Amino acid sequence: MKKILVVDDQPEVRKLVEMTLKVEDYQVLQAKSGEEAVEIGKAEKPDLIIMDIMMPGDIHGLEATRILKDDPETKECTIIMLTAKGQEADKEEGFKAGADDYFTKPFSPLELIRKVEEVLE
Amino acid sequence: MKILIVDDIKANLELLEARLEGSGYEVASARNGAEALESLKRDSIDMIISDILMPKMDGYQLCRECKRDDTLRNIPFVFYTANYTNKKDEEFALSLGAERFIVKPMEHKRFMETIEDTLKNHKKGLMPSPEMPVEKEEADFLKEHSERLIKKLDQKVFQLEETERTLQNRTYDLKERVKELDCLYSISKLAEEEGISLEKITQGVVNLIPPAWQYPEITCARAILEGQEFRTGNFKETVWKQASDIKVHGKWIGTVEVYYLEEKPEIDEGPFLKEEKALIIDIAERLGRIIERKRAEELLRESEEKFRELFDGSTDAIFIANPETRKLVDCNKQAQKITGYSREEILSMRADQLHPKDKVKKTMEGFKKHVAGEFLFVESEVLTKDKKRVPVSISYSLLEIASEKYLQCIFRDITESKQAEQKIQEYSQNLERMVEERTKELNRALYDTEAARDRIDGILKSIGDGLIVTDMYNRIILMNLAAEDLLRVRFSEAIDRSIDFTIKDKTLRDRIKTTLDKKKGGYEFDFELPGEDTKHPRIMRARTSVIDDKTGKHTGSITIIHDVSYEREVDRMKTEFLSTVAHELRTPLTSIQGFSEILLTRDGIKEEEKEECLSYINKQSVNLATLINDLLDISRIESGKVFTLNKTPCNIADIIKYTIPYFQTLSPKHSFEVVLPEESVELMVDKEKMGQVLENLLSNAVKYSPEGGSISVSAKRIEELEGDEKQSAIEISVADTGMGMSPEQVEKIFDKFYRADASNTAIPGTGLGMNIVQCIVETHGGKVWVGSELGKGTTVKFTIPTK
Repeated sequence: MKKILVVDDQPEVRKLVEMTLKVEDYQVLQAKSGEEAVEIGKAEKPDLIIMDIMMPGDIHGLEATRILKDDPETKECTIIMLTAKGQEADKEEGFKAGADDYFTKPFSPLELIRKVEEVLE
Repeated sequence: MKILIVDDIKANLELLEARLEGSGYEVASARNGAEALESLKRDSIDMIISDILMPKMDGYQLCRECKRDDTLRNIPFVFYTANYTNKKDEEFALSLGAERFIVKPMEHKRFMETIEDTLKNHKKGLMPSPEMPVEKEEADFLKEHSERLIKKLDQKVFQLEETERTLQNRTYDLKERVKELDCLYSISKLAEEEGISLEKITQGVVNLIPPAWQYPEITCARAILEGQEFRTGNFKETVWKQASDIKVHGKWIGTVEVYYLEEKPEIDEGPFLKEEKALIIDIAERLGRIIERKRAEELLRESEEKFRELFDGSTDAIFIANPETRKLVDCNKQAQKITGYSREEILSMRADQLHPKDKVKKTMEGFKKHVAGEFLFVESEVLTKDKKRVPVSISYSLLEIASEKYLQCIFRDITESKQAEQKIQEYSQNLERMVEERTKELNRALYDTEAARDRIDGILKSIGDGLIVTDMYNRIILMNLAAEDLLRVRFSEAIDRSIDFTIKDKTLRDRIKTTLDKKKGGYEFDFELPGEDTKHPRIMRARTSVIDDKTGKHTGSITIIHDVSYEREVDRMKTEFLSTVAHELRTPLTSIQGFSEILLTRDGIKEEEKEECLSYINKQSVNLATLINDLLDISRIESGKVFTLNKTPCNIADIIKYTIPYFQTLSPKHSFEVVLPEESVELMVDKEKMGQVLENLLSNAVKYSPEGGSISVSAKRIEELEGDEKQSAIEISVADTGMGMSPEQVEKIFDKFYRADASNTAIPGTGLGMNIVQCIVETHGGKVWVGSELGKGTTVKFTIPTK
């Protein structure tokens, strides 16, 4: 069973992603900050991380992505950015940090599940 | 004293009479002895002076008669006789009783002394008393008397012959002289002949020579004059020759020669008389003088002709006038032409009659002044015969002709120059008018230009943007106040100095220089100037352009500097705001879109799950609505529209109580404390707006105290000073125990789009809340202020007047 980590400071968004992913048989983990994401990421080594960017705390989404992608143990992990920052520059920043794909809020749950399935196959 | 003089020669008598009368004597005269005796009988005579030889009765006889007569014996008797008298005559005379015997000639003075002496002595009786002379025998007397007389007569005869001979010689001489004079006279006559040529004169002179010489029939003559020969018909060169030089002005020009054709006895000078020598010299001299005169006359005539020619040929009218009588004595042809009068008519006129009456006075003043020695031109007019006026310029000059003074009046017809002058005058008046108009125009233009320049100066000074003008060598030639302030350079110090020394910023310097190098267009670029702190430099936007003169030649550059710091800040804030807004919009939309899609696309969702989804959708819709309201408010504020307040009486406590529960549910981490006044306080406010204020403040309190904590809301009555008047108000405060703000952040709290900690992306917000709060409070007539300390929390207070 594939492990997916959902990182977002807003519980509603985490809930929404969780509900979106419920249709398949995934183990869904949750983190509400960058720090948590790095911690859980390293501990659980999920197959996929769905990462928000703007989060309170010292490590935001981009930084967390960079840390995980720099770590040999976690660098194989696929990271999809899911953020309200929808400008081209933001996307570039995301890919620069090591993101594998970029999703802009608001998003279509259907599209997200298709992406997740594509990534995890 | 009366003296009787006796002489047969009238001339002698007259001479003697004059001499005696001149010395004061009375004189009686007699022509012979007999007359003398007659006279003696009639008159009382004091002395007798007698000649000897006289017809009828001679001197001796008279003396004898007198001395024999008792009445006459005492009268002194003086013989006065000529020099052929000898001693015997004197003895005889004295023997007859004569007192004196005076021999002619005797010097006048001595003669008169002798006469006087004789008279004096005779009176005093010093003279040998005229005793009765020894009465000679009549025969003796006659004998002696005859002898004396014969001798005397012989002498007389000889003397007469002598005289006759002398007379003859003299007659001959006189004849010769007459011939000579005749010759000279004829020469003079010849020279005076009207229009006679010099050649004819010379020939005539030559012809006149032979008759003036002793032997005209054998005399010939020749004159050689500057190589030209003039001869008498019989001319032949011989050895008997006389000659004299002809000189003109002392210069030799030829000779006059006289020849005898035959030999003649030698006399004074060869065969010629000395008079003839004198004559030939005279003739030569005369001829010289005639030539001189003739030549002078010729010259004079020529110059007169020339003068006349010039006179008549002159294009000016010339009148010669008598300066006293003003009578015109001559005029030239042009004078006739200009006046229309004939010469004769002009010569019957006076100078003043040439001018029209109104010009006479002025013109004649000029005439008079000139006569008085002043030189001048007079402008006048001539009145022609047919009464036309001709403008003339007159110049006068004094002439002396044959020592007579005349005034020459030269009239120049100035009709044309008058017309030209008038044209010039018209032209110059025209020109003056044009110049005047042009001057006015220029003055106007100058005034306009000055006004424009003042205006431009004013504009340049008051312009908020910095302005720098440089020349081709990058020297500053103009700088306005704004540029001085921005670049921190004084124009007075920077003028005419290179920007290398005056402008610190390299970007600006390089761009100004390359603007000129580029020779076209200019640049628009930004550069930074140090701000109040190093973190926040001021951003300048500069635009350079080349300045061209009229011909398109570059003369320098102009740079305009605009401080865009604020715009940049606003831009930055706007961008940030937009991305914030987008983020803020996306957050609720994410829930709305995501949950609604799940609800729509999923089958077999549990009821509770459905409800949860719907509650998320609803909650985020409300958030979205608030956000939109905020944006609309700020947009209204931005566009300068004032809030339209819908004021209703309401209790402030109610508004607070109504707002708190929403935040209590939203943020369970926080505890809310509410302190309200005991009595109810009613205010005239816009309920909704007041609610919005409280929402914004509470929302901030929650957002900036993420760890939770207490948030206290209080309201109390206060008395605040509004100017000098106290007025009552309600003061409401919202205090949190959150992160707080630095003084710098507090300062900017009311700025639009400002967010205290923009880097903290976790805190949502539009950056508009406090701005909206301020706006609403101030519109209600209240005040708002913020107190904050980093790490300790923030308190926002505002007042609303109760009345």
